[in-house]
Amino acid sequence: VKTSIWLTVNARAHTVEVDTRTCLVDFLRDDLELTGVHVGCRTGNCGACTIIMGGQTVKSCVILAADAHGQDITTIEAMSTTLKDLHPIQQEFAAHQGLQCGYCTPAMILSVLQLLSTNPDPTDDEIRLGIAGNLCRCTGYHFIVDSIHAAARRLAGTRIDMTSIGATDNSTAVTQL
Amino acid sequence: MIAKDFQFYRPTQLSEALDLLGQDLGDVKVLAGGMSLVPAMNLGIVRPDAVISLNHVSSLDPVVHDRDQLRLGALVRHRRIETDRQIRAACPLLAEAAGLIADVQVRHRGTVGGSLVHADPAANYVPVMVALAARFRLMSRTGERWVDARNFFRGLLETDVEPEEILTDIVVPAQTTSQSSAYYRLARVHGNFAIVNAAAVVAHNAWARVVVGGATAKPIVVEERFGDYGGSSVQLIDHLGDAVYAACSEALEDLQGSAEYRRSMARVIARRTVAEALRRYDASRKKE
Repeated sequence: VKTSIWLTVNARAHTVEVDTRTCLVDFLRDDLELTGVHVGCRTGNCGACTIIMGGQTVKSCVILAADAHGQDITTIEAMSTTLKDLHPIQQEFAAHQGLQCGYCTPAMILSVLQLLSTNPDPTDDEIRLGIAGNLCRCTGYHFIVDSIHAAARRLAGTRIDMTSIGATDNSTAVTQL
Repeated sequence: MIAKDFQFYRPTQLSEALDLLGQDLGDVKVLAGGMSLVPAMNLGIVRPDAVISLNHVSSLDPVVHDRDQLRLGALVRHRRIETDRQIRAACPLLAEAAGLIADVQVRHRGTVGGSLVHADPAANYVPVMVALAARFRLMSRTGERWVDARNFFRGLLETDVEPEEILTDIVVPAQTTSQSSAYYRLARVHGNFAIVNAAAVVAHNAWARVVVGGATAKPIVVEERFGDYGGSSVQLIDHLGDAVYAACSEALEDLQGSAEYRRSMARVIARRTVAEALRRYDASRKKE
């Protein structure tokens, strides 16, 4: 069954017909080709499909595309366009080896953004709770925690607006790659 | 993509949703946050003919603190219950339990009403709502009725909600200054569903109530009066734990734990939770 929805994704408005059976993650990947949104478990456990909806991180594999009607969505693609303009969080993940295979990384980065938007100087425990919804099977998390501490130091004093992440001031970012 | 096709409805008024429920749409599921329903549909465990989403009904998410009670719309999301100062002040037990649900992403989307109606026996809200003596408002096309939390949970994923009804409001008495409370969950991994969980509410020197979830299909409620134990909290805790153990003769069993393990843990967790509630009361007195 088809149903019509309109929504905003990465500041672009869309009015589309979707199959009621389509989950938001598949709509973003297949229809909008935003393949930084990953499919992991389809049961809301692994967090690889994390996106920002209405200024909050959610898992797009357990939200029906038809139910995202009227929503304002941001994906990892809005954070940077090339290796040269990586967001400070992304840079610190690269610098501290906060990733190996990279499958969980786009979602992890968005969870870190969410965490730092409300808690700019988190402790180890607060970091681990903040990323509890994002499974990583490579790193064992230690380097991820290091990366997040480094990102927090970098972003100290910067206000993170979850509703317009593309607009983050990157002028202080030094490319470390 | 979900295997089985279904009709999707997105009402913006509660009356529209209730009208839809009154129609013959086949096997209908009411969708709130979807944190349990959508995974079940993805896995093909639940295969509805029609889904009615409540996410576009704006009248379902108010939070009203009215003197001695807190009123929550069924669509209030866990994250708000966890972080809203008004809710935490009026009902710290509810905020504590909400903050321990799954992970941040799930708490952003999952709703209090959805969790209650899904009625997983180990859900955080189940023992909490019973311990707080919450009341639920169920509405249908023909009217409304109120159900006490204690009578709401009927068994595994089974509640008192009739097919034509929607849970719309949750009313929780605010915690008084002579009361204290605690929530505790036993889980292998943080954020997983609990193996056993418990909520305790203690009225200083008057009574203590502990409700255990996850151990049995329906929550176990045990209440004792301090007067019956000469005011001794040690004896009272012992007795509450024993009563919980006795009530767990038909404990659930799965890969996370045998029936006997759950039964033993039910006693331990019940005792620990009541002790923590008592400790918090003493701590709050010292502060003043």
